[in-house]
Amino acid sequence: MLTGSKTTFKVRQMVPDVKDRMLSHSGHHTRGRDMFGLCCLPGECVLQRAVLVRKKLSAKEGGGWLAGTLFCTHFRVAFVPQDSPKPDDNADPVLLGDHDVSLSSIEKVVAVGPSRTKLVTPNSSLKFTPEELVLYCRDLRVICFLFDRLTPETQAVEITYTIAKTYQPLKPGTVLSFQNAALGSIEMKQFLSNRRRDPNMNWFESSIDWEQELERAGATGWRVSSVNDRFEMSTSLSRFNVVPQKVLDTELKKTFAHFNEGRIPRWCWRHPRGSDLLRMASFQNNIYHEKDDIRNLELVLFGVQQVCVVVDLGEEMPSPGDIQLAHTRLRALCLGDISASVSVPDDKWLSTLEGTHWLDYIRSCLRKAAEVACLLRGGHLTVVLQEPEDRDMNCVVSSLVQVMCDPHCRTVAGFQGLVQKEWIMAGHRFLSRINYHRDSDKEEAPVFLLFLDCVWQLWTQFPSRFQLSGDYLLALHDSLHMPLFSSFLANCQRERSRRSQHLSQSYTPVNGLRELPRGSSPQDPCDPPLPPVWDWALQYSSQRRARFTQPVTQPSCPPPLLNGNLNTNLDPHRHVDGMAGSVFFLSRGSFSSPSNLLPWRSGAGSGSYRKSHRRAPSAEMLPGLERLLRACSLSEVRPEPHEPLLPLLLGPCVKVWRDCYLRGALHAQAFTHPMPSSMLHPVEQLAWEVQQMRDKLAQASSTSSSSSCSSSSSSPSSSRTSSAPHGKQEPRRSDSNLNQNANNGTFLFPSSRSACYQPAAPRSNAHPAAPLKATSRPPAASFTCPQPRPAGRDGSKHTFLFGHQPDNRPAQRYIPPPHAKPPRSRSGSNGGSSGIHGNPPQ
Amino acid sequence: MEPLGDVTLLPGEERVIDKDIIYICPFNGALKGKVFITNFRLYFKSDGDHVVVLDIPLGAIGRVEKMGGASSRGENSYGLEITCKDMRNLRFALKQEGHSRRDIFEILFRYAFPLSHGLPMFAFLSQEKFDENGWHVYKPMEEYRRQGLPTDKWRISFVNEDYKLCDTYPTILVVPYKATDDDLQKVATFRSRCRIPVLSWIHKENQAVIVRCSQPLVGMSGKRNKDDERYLEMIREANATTKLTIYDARPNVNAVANKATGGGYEGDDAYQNAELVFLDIHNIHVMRESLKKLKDIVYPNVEEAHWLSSLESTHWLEHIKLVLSGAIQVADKVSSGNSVVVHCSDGWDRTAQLTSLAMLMLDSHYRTLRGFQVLLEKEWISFGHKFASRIGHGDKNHADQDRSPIFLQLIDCVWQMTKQFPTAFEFNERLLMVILDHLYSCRFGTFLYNCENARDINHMRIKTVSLWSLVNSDTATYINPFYTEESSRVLYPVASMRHLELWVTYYIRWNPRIQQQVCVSPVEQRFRELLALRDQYLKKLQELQLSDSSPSAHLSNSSTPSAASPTQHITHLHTPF
Repeated sequence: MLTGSKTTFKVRQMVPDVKDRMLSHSGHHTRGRDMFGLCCLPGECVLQRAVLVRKKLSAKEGGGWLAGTLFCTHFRVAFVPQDSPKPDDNADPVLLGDHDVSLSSIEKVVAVGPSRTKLVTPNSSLKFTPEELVLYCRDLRVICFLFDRLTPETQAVEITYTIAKTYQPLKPGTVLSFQNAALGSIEMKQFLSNRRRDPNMNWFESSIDWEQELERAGATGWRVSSVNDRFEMSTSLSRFNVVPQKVLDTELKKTFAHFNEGRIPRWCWRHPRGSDLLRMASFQNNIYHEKDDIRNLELVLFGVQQVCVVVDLGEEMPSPGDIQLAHTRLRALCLGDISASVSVPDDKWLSTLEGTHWLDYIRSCLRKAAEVACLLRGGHLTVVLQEPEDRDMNCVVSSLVQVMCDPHCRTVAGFQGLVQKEWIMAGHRFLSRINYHRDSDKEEAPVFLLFLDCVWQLWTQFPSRFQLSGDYLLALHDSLHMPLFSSFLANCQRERSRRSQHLSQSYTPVNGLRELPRGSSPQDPCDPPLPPVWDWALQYSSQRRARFTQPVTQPSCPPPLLNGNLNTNLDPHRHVDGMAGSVFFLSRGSFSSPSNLLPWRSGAGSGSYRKSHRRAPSAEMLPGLERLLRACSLSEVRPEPHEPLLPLLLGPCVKVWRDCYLRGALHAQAFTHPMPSSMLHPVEQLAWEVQQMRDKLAQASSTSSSSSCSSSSSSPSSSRTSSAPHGKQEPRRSDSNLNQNANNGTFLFPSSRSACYQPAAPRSNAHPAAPLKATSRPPAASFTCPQPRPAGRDGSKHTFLFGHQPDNRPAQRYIPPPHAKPPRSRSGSNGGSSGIHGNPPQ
Repeated sequence: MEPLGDVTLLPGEERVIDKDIIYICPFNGALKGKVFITNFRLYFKSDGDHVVVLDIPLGAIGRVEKMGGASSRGENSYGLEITCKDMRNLRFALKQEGHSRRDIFEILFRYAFPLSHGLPMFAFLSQEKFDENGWHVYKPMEEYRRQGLPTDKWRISFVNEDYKLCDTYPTILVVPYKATDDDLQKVATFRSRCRIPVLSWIHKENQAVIVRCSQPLVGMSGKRNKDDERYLEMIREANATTKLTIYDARPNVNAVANKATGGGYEGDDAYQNAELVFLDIHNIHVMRESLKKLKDIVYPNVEEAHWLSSLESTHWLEHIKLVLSGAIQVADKVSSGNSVVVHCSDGWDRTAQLTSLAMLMLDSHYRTLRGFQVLLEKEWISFGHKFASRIGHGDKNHADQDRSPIFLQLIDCVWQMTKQFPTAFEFNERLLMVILDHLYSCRFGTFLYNCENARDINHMRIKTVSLWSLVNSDTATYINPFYTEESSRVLYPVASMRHLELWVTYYIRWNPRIQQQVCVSPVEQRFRELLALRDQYLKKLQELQLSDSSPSAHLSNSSTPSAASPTQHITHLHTPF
């Protein structure tokens, strides 16, 4: 028995026939071996197979039926179309093919017979030969397979049984066996442990990461504090938190006690106009406020600004319970159910949809985020999001605000960084909220899915302002339903870093039986190295990943983003110029300044807050603030590149994410207008064309600049150092061109992230003379700027491509296509996704 | 004309009156400004910085009422209230002195409803000239020839040349080869308003046909007519359909109720080789009420909290769904080789919806810009959809029970299809909007009058301009950049409430918040940006190649072979902008 057989305990639950089959296969099973056209993962066993099956395609896939072979392994249900190209044995393993679904995503198996349908459970027996097999999935897919008359009857029956018995029932403890099925083989573990993380995104794990973010946002007056390094101050906060520079760690330590779970106000983001966005939990009221504490609390709360607005997210936003209920209803509504025949009649669809309140909740999140975005735009404020626990709605709103305001967050890398920052590191309780272990039903609430839907709403209203695509959001949505990713399998950073202990505690062997594979250390089996969800190459085929991004045409980033604090005088929108120390409270769309807002200021009890501080905020400020909000609700702002994306929230403008919730094959028409599958939508076609030309321009100008500036010729090699390992992961293939394009799309955005790795990467010696100021002006931003500035004329004659960049070297970030000349091809050997981003040597 | 400096009058348009007025804008409050009325339009421009402009063809006005009296109290309570056919209402306030509204009210009333005052409609006054004559878009013989007619089973008949057989049908009809003109006369006696079954469309491969007609005159006594039965049998035999399917667009009960007024449906015993299917589409009155409810929820304010249930209670989308799914059934039957007969009561409302939508699904020619014009000209205009009665062109009788948004419903169905198949139609949303705008405007002769007969009498083709003249002189505006030509397959839209959408950019376009999106759809905007960017890059690439002589040894090697590819690509793409 080779690898992956840790899950053979399952055999005991199977009918003997299947068991035999499985055993007979697994004997000669090797990694990458092509099992009747299925490219298995290392250690993956085919349990059952049915030939001449047809899969019903959704409208998006082109509709109709696709003939092929259906497989059930102990990790997934796979479907291999008839004439799909032979899998490459040397290719890296990909968890899911384009037509596959993991067993963990399956919720229900329904067999459709000649005259009846039956929900097939592990214990049920079929009294008819299924003609159709319908898989209802937790990610709201409905996958439908049709058995041909030529499908051997036994195969149709057997595979139905096998799937019904193998898919993961909702039980605590099955998560680990599933993880082992997918990632447990030795090859897979080795493969995963050699895998490098995407260096192009910010992981927010080290203090350097945070410092890079501060620099990217142009935030001054803030510092990264490691006072919570051992999670002693707050167990749910991350190790590093950004706080005002003025507050020393010793002072900071005293503030934790004043907030629920020690979740003090922390910096999230700075708006280019200079406002800061913070988030915090509710105040601890029953605590005595020392005079010194008060000073520190005020400092922490106000940050570097004089005026502070506390935005209440506790009251008017949906609670996790609301969200869970809404999502449950939405699922029931969208999936329908042919086995229970309780699907909502079509003429009641709209009102039933309304009754789920899902769209209401989306609207309230978007509205709140738009309000906050408008406040931030308005000027020099500290806007603090406050939620009792600071672990749900604060995540939603703070990240939505950034998606609306910061073009960087609309790229794949930027968005992933955002999720790292505001969700994963900030301690959103993914594990409890997703409830993988089925042990926290009361806590379950798809808050993150609500967020994804909100992002999708923004995406549909402003598609050309996003580099990430709807397909990307969908992939992320689906990955959430696979309990394989370290990103989602913990509730906070502390848990994540103690994962191995956590797992061995929570693991209860199914049926008390588990065979340890020979030759592995004892703690190994319960610890398959879990990849982060951002490792897309592990999950999806390159074709699918190519659709994750779309080239963006708009010049996306205003120069002031990087040093917003210098730009205050240019700001015509500055309405708010309040008295120092004014605090306002935004709740239900209106401002107030209640005296008891800050517990240490409310006179009774503490009394130590000096009277002079308790002046009422100037009355003229309230209208100013309200004006800011009105601007938001009218959304009169003509979308400028750097204005926030303020979505329309009128009834008909908030829509159902059809591509996600209604993509079940049952909703698809049998035939649709055939878009030849080889053909892209004309817009995409054009987009790629533009992208290619852009590449060519970049290449042409980098070629010419490297010839004019010999010193830069060494730079490709420096970028290679950081990304060379990736070359192995993605062997260059003929189709790599498309992928390159996909990845190159990112450079349209100021990926100052690239600068993040500079201190770490040993490339500074390659360019001792590189001007530092270049980091503050990502060449990409100016590249898209169509107007050459006069200053640029002084440089090389091609600098107009990059705006007014005085030095030419940024050109090297565009890695030339494979057919480039020898000096180039050295850098071309980077290959793969990361190489393309080749960090600009600056 | 200096006061109307910023609006170009149409040739033949003349100013009638202008007046200071207050427009009570539901979105911006009361706005002072000036209103101009010509024989074609009402134009309002507000004073002040934030200029609000209204430009409404008088034809779009459905009703003009006085609001308040000389003695009514309250600010802006004295004035006019105008109900428009295009989903908006307007309120104007005037000074409460000296009967200030009398003249404007009378002028508006006269020019908005010229037919009720013995005046000509603007289409007859217009002096517009276009490069192309849209009246030549549809030539029946050409269209039938395109379909491959006549065949050995179907012939072209001129029996209706003088509108003697049926006054609401066109002159050229396609009928079974075996049916003599005498037969046709006999059948006509048994079909409501003599609208006999005639061919609308024939499937090139399987020769299955779509035949349209009106209801049989069965009546309470259950009359039978041998000629009619034989005639339907001929239709069935033409391509050896085993069972001819008769689609009655009405709900079953309505069809039964029609017997009381002499109508009815084809009974089982009389038509043994036919099966009758009721499609449950409601009548014109139901549709009118549904649209009225829809207007209530979209203008001026759009509700947020209960939007979906309000929308559901209008049943508008449900009606759209029934029409679409009826058309899908027709198209499906025909594409599988069975001939069908479609009728409702008189065969000019629901029948036209079903046949034209089914044809749109079956025949990609109708999905082109010109093909769509032909489809409308053929199935709607020539076959006598009663545009004049349904829209009430130039008629003051706003409560006329004959009015109904049947044609709007068709365009909505077409829009739903373009949404579901964004690459299948050569025309874009703008064409659909312009069609609807001029359905009411009376600027073109295209949608005036009820039938060909009336149009001939009024010499429409000579005296008025066709809407298609406007459209075809500026095709670039109406081209869908994403159109991908594909001819072989049938388009079946998903007719489910889950996939139908309200046409927000039409029904809610007067809402300033929606307006942003009306101008250009996000996808199209993106397309335009990309095109601009491509041109820009192309220029730069060329510049690079031209200007770069010194380092070009480097450059040309690497980029010349590839630089050719963008130019190649360009030829592949339609570049309408």
